[in-house]
Amino acid sequence: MSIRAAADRRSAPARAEGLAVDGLTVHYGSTAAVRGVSLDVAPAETVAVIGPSGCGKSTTLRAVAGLVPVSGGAVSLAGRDVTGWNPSRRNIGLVPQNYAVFPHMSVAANIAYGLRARGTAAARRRERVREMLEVTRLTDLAQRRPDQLSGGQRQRVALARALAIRPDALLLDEPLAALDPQLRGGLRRELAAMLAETDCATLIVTHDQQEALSLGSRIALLREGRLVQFDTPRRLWDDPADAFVADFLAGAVLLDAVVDDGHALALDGRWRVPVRDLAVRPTAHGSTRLLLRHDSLTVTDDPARAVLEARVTHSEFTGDGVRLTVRAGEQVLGVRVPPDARVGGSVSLAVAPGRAVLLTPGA
Amino acid sequence: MSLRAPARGRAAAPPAWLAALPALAVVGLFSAYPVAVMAANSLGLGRPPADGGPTLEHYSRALGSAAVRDALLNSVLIAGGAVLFTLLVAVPVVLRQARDDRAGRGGAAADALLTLPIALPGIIIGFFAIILTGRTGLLGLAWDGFSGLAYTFTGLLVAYVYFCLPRVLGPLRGAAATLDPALAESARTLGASRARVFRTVTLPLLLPAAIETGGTALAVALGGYGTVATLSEGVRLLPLNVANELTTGYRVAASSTLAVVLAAMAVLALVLGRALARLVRRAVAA
Amino acid sequence: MTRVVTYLTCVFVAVPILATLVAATSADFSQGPWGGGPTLDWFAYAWPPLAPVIGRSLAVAVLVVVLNLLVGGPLAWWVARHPSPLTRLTGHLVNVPLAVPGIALSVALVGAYPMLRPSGLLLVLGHLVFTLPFTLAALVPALADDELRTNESVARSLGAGPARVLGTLTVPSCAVALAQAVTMVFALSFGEFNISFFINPPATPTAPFALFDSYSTQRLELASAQSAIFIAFVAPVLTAIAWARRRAPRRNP
Repeated sequence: MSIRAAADRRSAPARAEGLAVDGLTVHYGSTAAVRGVSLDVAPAETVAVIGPSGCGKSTTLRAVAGLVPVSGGAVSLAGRDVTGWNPSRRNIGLVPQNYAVFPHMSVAANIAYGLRARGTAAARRRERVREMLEVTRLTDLAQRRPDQLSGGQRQRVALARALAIRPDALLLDEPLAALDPQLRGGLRRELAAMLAETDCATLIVTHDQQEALSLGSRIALLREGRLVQFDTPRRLWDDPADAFVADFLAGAVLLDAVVDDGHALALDGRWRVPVRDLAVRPTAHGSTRLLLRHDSLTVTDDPARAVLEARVTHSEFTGDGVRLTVRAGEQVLGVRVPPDARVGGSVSLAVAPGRAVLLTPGA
Repeated sequence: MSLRAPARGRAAAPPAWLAALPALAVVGLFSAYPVAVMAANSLGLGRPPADGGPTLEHYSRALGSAAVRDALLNSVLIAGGAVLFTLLVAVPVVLRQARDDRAGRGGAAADALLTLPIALPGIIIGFFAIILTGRTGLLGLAWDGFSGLAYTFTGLLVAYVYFCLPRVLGPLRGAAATLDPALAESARTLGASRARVFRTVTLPLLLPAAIETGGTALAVALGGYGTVATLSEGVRLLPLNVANELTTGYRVAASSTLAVVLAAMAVLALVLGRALARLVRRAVAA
Repeated sequence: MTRVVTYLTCVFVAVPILATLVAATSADFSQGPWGGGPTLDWFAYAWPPLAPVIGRSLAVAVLVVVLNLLVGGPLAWWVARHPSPLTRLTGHLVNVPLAVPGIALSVALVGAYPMLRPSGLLLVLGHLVFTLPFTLAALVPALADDELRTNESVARSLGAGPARVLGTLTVPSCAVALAQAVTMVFALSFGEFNISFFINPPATPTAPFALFDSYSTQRLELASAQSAIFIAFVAPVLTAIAWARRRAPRRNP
């Protein structure tokens, strides 16, 4: 991890408050599910942990909650080292993937559960439950049974139940995965609005790029148990640490490049692109690379432009155009052409001026 | 979702209930009819030379007998006590098994061992009691108090626990497997202690299944004959009386009467178990 | 806590079986475990008279299994595929032997069909009605499975006849349930004592009756050896039941 733009903005005591995970390692039997992951969440901040399935993101969340034993590293919460603490002592609000709303209790009793466990006085408990019902717009459903609720309503019950105890950290495991795809967009905005009102450190685990980009003020990207990049969505998008990050988060291609005589050379020098056709931006990740998004390339028949010959392996009609998957040597690239374009078995590719990005360490 | 079968196949096909006919004939002739005959015999509706018309005399005579009343009481106490104790043991065992199953560990050996008693006839379980706590039993060597325990109320109770164990563990394990572990985990993160999670989440959700399973096990235990037959020199239970009426003097009506009483108790246990489970399920939900 | 209870329960189940083995290998058990020295003589005495009885019990159990499949299989199919008030009623009727205690059913059967007793036919039929509920319980859910029914429809639409659908889809999909039913029925019939009590042909008893007889008339060591042999015959079946349950599809999300 190199850039901590967001972290730099915060003062030291504030950081000590939220949630901090330091060098976390978790083993299942002999296999390491999480290896040396470090991240931090400030109070009122939302961090999204994202990665392909099996990358260790859910394990990270469960380790923070104290539900799996940690074999290395530390978890600290509101300034206390809670590694090895019982889940019941951590003061954490957990919203599991299936919400785990207690099926034998009403909505109100679900929300009151943590307060009862803490021995909160009845009057204060009722007041807090009423408050949470209002925040999550469940007041009319207070006496309902969980089996009479929709998926979205259950999610709000689980959220209200977790927030009722005024947790130091809120953990959400795939909060939208259990919901109907058509409803997710609306519920995501609703969830974002509710999270914005809380002042606890929030960790969201998801495998959905859009969810991570829109809900997280910073994103931690995990692969095979390791933290690959931890930064703001903007910077992950603009300056991915490696080709995996670029592909996973934005479906973009990241090529190693060298600059020589006003040209960027990629694909072992087989492709020469004039630097003036590229947007040049600084990178924090060491080497010079060429970042290509779906709109960075065009098909050209002008031999004067720097072109790359590629073979078309697949074409896909997307309504407003045709997306071609092409192969240049070993490299697979995507290029978008107008719907009426006539394309043969092979194409000449050029960069759309200003659309491809050259990331250089020195710039 | 389902595709329609080609029409030509349908026209020629014989009616589906034909497939059930052989089984229904067997069940009707060798289960329903004999039970009906048994009930008729107990009401004096048997063949004329032996029975002289409808009467409740057999019932009044049976229930009037102190020996039968004692056996009835013992049956209820032993079977009920054994089922209750078995449930107490079975709940932690199935919770452990469910946890191990989810983690993908746990021994097939323990699994097979805990299932084994279901295939052992009651007589062998009675024999186990004799081997361990009979007059020359193995445990008697360790402590004199174990000698002859097999023939006492306590000894019989322990033997019946052995008998009930696989019959409770099997169905209850299925119920425990459907408990979502995220419920207990959420409760833990909300600040509840292990004991509190068990009391407020796990137990209420498992209770209806436990009651229903208990009712079924109680019905089976009430009717169990082998174990008490092997240990018959000790405490006497109702199934012994049912058999005795036939083996000592072939009194069909008297035996049938006791058999009906026994069957009625077993059915009551089943029905009560189910009704109570439904009631508790609703109460827990409220 | 739960682990300790589980271990103790395993010990509770295992100890009597081990004790039976100890008694069966003791020259004189009244002198304590392996009193008079360890011996295998009791097994040598126990086996010759027990062998034909075990053989008979095996034959009955196999016959009951076959009848269960022949009679119970089609019934399970009808109940699973044509649910109606009638099939529900049938379910209750089939379950009568679960509610009526075995000894009571035995009394009922011998009262109704005394003439079928000597041939052993009554015993086989008694075992059949007693085990049918277990066959049904195993097979009905497997046959009612939505995925299986969709697959069958697809096969039929591809031109497969009923026999081919049964052989290539229905039976393989129900393999675990079938294994469960077969092993359970076998074990129950092999060890059945209660229902058998009055319908068992007096001249040719099954294994549990030979054991019961030994318990009251023979030395403890000899009875132990016979019990151990009996357990050795059901233990593999039991392992099969445990295995089938492990292979059963998990229905939790």
